Amino acid sequence: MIARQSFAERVLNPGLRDVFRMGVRRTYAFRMWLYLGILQVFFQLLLVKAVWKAVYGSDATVDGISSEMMLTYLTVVGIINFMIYPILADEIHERIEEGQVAVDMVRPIGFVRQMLALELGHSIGRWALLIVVVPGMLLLGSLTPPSPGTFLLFLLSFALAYVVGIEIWLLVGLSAFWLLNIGGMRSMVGLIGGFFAGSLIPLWFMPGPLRALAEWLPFQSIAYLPAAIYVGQATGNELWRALIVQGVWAVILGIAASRVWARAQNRLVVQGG
Amino acid sequence: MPIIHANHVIKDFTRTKAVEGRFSAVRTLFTREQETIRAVDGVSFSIDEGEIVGYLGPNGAGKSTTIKMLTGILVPSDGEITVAGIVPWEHREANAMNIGVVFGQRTQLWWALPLQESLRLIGRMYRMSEADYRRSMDQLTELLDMGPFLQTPVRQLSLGQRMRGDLAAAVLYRPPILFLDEPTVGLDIVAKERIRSFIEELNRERKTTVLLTTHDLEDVERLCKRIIIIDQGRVLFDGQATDLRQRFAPTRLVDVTVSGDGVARLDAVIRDLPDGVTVTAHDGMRASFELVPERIAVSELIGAIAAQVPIADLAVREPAMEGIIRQIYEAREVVR
Repeated sequence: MIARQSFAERVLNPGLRDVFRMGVRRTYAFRMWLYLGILQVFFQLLLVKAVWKAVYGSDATVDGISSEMMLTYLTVVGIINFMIYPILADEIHERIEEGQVAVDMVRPIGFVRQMLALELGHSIGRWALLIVVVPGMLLLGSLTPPSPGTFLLFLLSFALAYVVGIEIWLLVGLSAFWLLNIGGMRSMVGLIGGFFAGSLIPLWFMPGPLRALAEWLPFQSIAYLPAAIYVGQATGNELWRALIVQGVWAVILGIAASRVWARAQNRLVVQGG
Repeated sequence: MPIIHANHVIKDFTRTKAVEGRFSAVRTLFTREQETIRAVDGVSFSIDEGEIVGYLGPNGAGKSTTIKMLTGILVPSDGEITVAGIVPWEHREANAMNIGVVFGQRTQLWWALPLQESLRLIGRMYRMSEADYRRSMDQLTELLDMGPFLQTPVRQLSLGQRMRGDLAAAVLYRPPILFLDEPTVGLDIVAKERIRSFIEELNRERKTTVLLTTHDLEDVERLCKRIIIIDQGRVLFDGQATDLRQRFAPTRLVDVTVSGDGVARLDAVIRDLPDGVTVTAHDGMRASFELVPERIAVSELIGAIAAQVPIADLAVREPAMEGIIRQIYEAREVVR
């Protein structure tokens, strides 16, 4: 009676579409949260912009970076941070805490694939709001457009950033199989990750050792690298190097996530009987 | 050929030992001391196609843990399990197609969606064709009387309605095996009865194999010919429900009500009972007797009473399963 499903059949389970749709719904289920998220992006841009304005003072460039380029960098990073906002760590945590993970695991779609479909739905739902976010950011900051070629490479870099971002938060979520409560892990990765992603200070302004550390961590792949490509700070070889770094992290974290998942299943404890 | 097979299954859970005494909360953070709890300790059984088996045991006996291993949610620490020829945790998705699961304590429906939408989604997940889905839905809507609340969001359903919805979700795609983990918990009598007759019907019509855990022994009396009792992770009894009764309570209960002028004579009957009969209750016009059929036939007792007193009402009962199960739980020993 073994009905092994082919890879395509598993990946294309028609139910995944519904899980995806539920992810879209989830974006809009907590409306206040969503509005605050948008305000937060605007507010953060205003704050970092003020700080960087003070740093630049009356200088037009610092270390070869024009204030215009700096403002564009901050604006792009703000938009990327709005777009890459994974919920799957919270989702996994919640399901384990409530024991609902038991139900998820008897469905004919793998648990991780359900979570990814949900995440994708949530992202798409969120991206629809770029209609508001982009004009707002344009008003507060600057989006001096790059050449069309560079923009395409930026899109590729963004796609890789999205993958890396989701993988990192998937790993954080899966740690709930061991930790049960991931609150601490979550805020640590949020804080450290945010800093080393270059959300406040681009890597090019970080002092030597800090920059070296940032370059060895996966977080620069999420925001700094695509933004550096957008503003034209990473060009030529450096641009390709950035894409390769992102690609390598996407693969490493992907392998790590599947290893962790394989072990997580043995660790599962279903809460509440 | 058994459809469910478990061979010496063990499941250990490890957890960090809590530290006691001063600053215990802080010290717990630094302790590496772990303790192992064995939830299931060498359970073996085989279930044939078309059986309804009651899987019983007190709270914390390891029932739910066993079910979670059979459904592929948990991976055993040791031992073998096959369900319809599949090792559940190795081929979770293939296993999912063969089984239906109801956890009485939680729902597999989606809170935000109307019941019908939830079920449609289940249909798609299990790759049902539109025609199959329609047919199955029509049948289940009628059998479980779901018509009145199909359009209601799941979060607004009563517990009884939700449980019917969950049952429908578990059998919609016609799985050959059904695992029910406390499907009647918290339900009123009418709702319980509806669920029991549905399971009965399903087993008769589709030959669905059912493994059922419950604390309500009426579920068992009504549905299960075979019972497996576990406690502390071990199987204490595995056999026919009738055998269990035979071993632990091979008696019959006879309740007698006499008509108005027989009250005094009933006292006389009770003073002079045949061998093998005892009085368990006596109150004016009513009396209850317990007898061992091997020593005295029920008809003999009734005859003896009727010869002296006019009987207005009479009932012959088997002792309730509850007393028997309680004896086994309390003894905590393997029944051979």
